[in-house]
Order: sequence, then C-alpha cells, then structure tokens
Amino acid sequence: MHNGYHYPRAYATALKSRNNFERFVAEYADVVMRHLKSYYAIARGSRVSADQFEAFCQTIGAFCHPAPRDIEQLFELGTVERVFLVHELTFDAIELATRLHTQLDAAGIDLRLKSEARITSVDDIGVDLNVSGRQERARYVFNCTYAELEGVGVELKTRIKKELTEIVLIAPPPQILGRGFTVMDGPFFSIIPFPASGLHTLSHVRYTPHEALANLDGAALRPVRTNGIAMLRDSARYMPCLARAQIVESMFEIKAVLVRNEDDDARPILVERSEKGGRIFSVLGAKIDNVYELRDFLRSQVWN
Amino acid sequence: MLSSVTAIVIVRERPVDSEMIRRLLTALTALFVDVETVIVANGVSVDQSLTLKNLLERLPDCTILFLREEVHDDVARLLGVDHAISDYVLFATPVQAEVDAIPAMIAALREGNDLVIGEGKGGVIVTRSWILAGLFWLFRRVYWLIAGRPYEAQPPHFRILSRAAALYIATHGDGEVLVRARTFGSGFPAAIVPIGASPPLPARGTPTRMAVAKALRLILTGSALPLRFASYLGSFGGIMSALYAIYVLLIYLFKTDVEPGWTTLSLQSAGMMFLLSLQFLFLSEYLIQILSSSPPANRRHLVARESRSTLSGRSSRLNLVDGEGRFHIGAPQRFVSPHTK
Repeated sequence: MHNGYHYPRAYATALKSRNNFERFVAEYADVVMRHLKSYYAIARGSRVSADQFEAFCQTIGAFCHPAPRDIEQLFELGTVERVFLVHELTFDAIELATRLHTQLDAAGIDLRLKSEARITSVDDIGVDLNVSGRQERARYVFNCTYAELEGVGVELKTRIKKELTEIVLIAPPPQILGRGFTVMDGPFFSIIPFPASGLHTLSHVRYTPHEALANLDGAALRPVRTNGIAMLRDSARYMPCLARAQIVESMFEIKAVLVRNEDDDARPILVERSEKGGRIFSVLGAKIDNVYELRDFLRSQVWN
Repeated sequence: MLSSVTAIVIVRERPVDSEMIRRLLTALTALFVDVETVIVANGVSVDQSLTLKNLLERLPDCTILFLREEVHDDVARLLGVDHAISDYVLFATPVQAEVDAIPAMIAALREGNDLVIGEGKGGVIVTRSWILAGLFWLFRRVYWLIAGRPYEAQPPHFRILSRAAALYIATHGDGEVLVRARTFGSGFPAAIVPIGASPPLPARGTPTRMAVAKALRLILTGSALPLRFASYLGSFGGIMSALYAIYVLLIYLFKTDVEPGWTTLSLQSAGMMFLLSLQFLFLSEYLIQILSSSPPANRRHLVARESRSTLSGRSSRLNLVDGEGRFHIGAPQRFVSPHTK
C-alpha cells in the first residue's frame, strides 16, 4: 500500500491513495504488517528532486523523514540524492483472502471462483450471463476482471494496455530483511517484503514489463524467459548488498493500464458504464485500497 | 487535456493582482486536468503578507512561500520549481497578454517543446540607473567570456517548461543562469511564442548589494576559468622560484664578491616561494575538482513559512474516470467515511 508516496507527479492519485491507506489500515489492521520499515530513495536523474519529493509529502500530509546514516550507507555513493524513511506498509495476502472469504460467507454471497462468465444478452431491466454453463440473470453486472475486461463480452471505449510483467521473489541479504526500499522516480526498482512467502519481491520499472499489447484481442502474452538476473544486477548498482541476494522464483502476471495515463503518474480507477442498457459496469483498478473509492462511487449512484 | 501544471508567481513590491491570477488559473483549468499555484513572497511587506493570506483563502490548490529574506527573483523562481509537483511548470507575471497567450503556449508545448517562451512588449520592466545598467552590461560580457554562454538580460517572466526541463534547471549548478536561458541545449527543444503587448509595469531592480554579490558569485562559479587562472599563477610562481634558485647558484659559483649570507638567504626564500607556489597550485586544482562534483546548494532553508490553501479543486472528486476519461465527482458528504477526513 503506497500511502501516496508512489505518485509524486499526480497529486490527486497521491492524495486518494493516502486517504485510502488510512482507511485500509484501520479496517484491516489484523492483516497489515505494522513493523515494516520503508524507505524511499530519490535517485540521481530521477523525475523528481529530493526537495520536490519532500515538499510533495508535506502537501499530502505523509510522514517523510531523512533516513538514518546506516540506511544511507546501503546505497552506492552518488547513485541517490537522498533517502527518506516513510510510512508505507504491506499486508499478508493469504490472511486477507481468508478474512474476505469469511466476510463473503457471512454476507451470504455466492462466490464462484475458477468459473468462466460470458454476457449473452442485455435489456433495459437486466443482464443475462452464462456462468460455467449455467444461465444466470442479474440486474447489474460489475465486470472486475482486470486484464480480461473485454473477455466477458463487453466492448470498452477506453484503450487498455496489457503488459506481461515479472516480479522476482528474492531471499534478501540481512541488511534488507524486513525492510522495504523503493528507488524513485524513473527506471528504477522496488524491494518489498512478501509475507506470504517469507521472501522479498523485486520489481523493476525497466525489466518487470516483458511485452505489451494495446489491443485486447491480440495474441496471448506468455512468459518465455526471466529478467530476474537483469533486475538484480541493475538494482545492485544502487544497493551493492543486493549482489548477495538469491533469486528464488519469478511470478508472472498480466498487468492492465489505461493508455491515456501510461506516461504520467496518475492511476485513476476506470469505471466504464456500458452504453447499451447501462447495466454493466467495467471496473479497472490496480490497487487494493481502490475499493473505498469505488464504494463512494457506488453510493453516489441511483440504483433501480 | 494535459495532465497537470504548476503556475509560479513571484510577488515583490507590486500589489498582488488577484483578479489576474484568477483569470490565469481559469485559462489553465480549461487545458489541464490539475492546476496548482505556487506564489513566492520575496521580501514582501506586512500589508502584502496580509493580502496574500486573504488570497490563499480564495484560491484553491495554492501554496505561498514566504521567504526569510529577499533573494534574487531567479532564486525565488527556482524555489517555486522545488515546490512544484506537476508535469509542467509555468512562470507568469501574470498580465492579461499572458493569459490570452496561454492556448498558443500550450499548442507549442504539445508540439514536443520542453521550453516555450512567451515574448511581447511591455509587462514588467526593470528600472536601473545608468551606472547599474553599465555594470550589468559589463557583467554579462565578462560572464560570456568566462563561462562561454550568455546570461540573458530579460528575466523569465512568462515561460512554460516540461517537468524534465524544470528539473534540469532546479538541480543544475547553474540553475540561476539556466532559469532565464532561451535554450537548454539539444536535449530540450525550445520555442518562442510572440504574445500581445502589455502596459509597462515598472519594477525596481535587484538591490545593488545583492546584484553585485550574485555577479561575483556567478563569475567565480560559472566556470573553472578564474580558479584555473589562480592555478596557472601558482605554476608560474613555482617556475620563477626555481629559476631564481638556479640564478642564485650561478652567482655563487661564478662571482667572487658575493656578500656572506646572501646565497643562503636567497636560496631559502626561493625554496619557500617554490613550496608555497606548489601548495597554491595543488589547492586550486583540488578546489576545482571539489566544486565541479558538489551538488547545488539546497534552497529550502530560504523559506520562512509555507502556507497552503484549504480549498482544493481535487478534493471533491474521486480518483475515478469514466469511459471518456472524465473524473467523477465524489459521493455526497453523508456517504463519505469519517476516515477520509
């Protein structure tokens, strides 16, 4: 959960991220790793200067304090402008999933995972769907299938870019263990504890994306190689201790981003209402705390 | 629409034209999704401070930086850049001709330029006595000779920069020169847009003491040439001392009527001068290396107080876009969770 720090060039996204962070941490306190120490380093050649980053943190009201000397010394001299201690946390994905399952059960919601859904017809009062061979009818459909938004039979006006991305799980050296590091703002990297596996994730702006499609009906994106070594070697230029990290495995995922926001820092949530009947909402949001934004939106709508 | 812009306005002795700032922001709002303002109050009076505080209550997404002491306007502009978090940075006076020229400036920006300069007659005109005008002319000539690049006579009253260009000037050691440069080099395409004439707004120049201090600083730090000259002097002194020592030895060997003690004393002073010259040479070279690798000075200590407006054009909307890319206005207040407050 970025707490806004990740978007120094998009105030609106940063502010919402910051507000939603507080809400998420309060509501899901039991799955949040509170003892995590996170650091943001502003690289030389970054798209923001250290002064601008500090001013930005003050503007959104996010904690930002110069990192102690021993943390600064983890970085190769001259590669970063300044390092800041920030308040950014992570959560245990397995514990969160368990808790949400319990909540869904308690609310009596019929959850069908690993099912294929396809919209068959839409009229003024509802939507017909085929869910793994069973015909269903719903008053409204919320299509939250992330990178497969058009796969359920909805046409989108918004252009979405699909990227095959790789995140590497590493066994970090002792200096990094239990700490999160993000080097901003440009083709740099981020190392964050991944409680579900007891390891750290390493992602890199340049090497995490493998290939991309701007057309959703294009050929399927499949991993053919790993960029893990390139990620680790480039990161070790900034943090030499990473040369002693061990790559454990790579996780591949299809990432979806709005084409119009690809070059800026803004990461708004897409809520596109289908033109026909207006009963299908296609939602694309990449961050866990986006749920609050969406909830506020849903509550502002008139439902019939 | 373009993503976001920060308008930087420097306020000194002239009264703040809040109506003009409002017009400027209206023009920008039509072209950018997010617009913020950074006003740098550079050595303003108490009355001006009160006016600015009142303005803050009416302007959304505005930051006012009250400086501890009056600084050169170019330093104040760089301070504004240090506080800008948008994708584009606009320097504005503002005057009506600038407001009218905003669409043309943005059109030049869309063509891929990183620096778009708006130039027209009138506007802020700095008044200098003929002595100061002469000294300024002399400084610019000397600076060009030493640094090999011009120091532009016109302050950067109206120009728009991409984030990359703004960051380049903010983090570069020569930021105070670059901020008024008409080009940053081949990596940053620049365009000049003619704007309409404005009524002249006379403004006093930088205080003489500050201007002289700045001129000397820029001449000494704009290039390694002055320090290199000191280094050459050290070399020259060393060579002359060595030659003098040889001369003394030759006199000792070939002349008979030398006063007792003259040779010893002369060799001692030549040796000392030689060592001092060497020290001078090495110290100058070290200084050149240290200065060339040291980062530019931090300017944030110049800010005495930073005030932000409580109004925000962004706070009433969700970070949520529809199929057309329009932001959605937020839920009614009764539905908003107390955690967001």
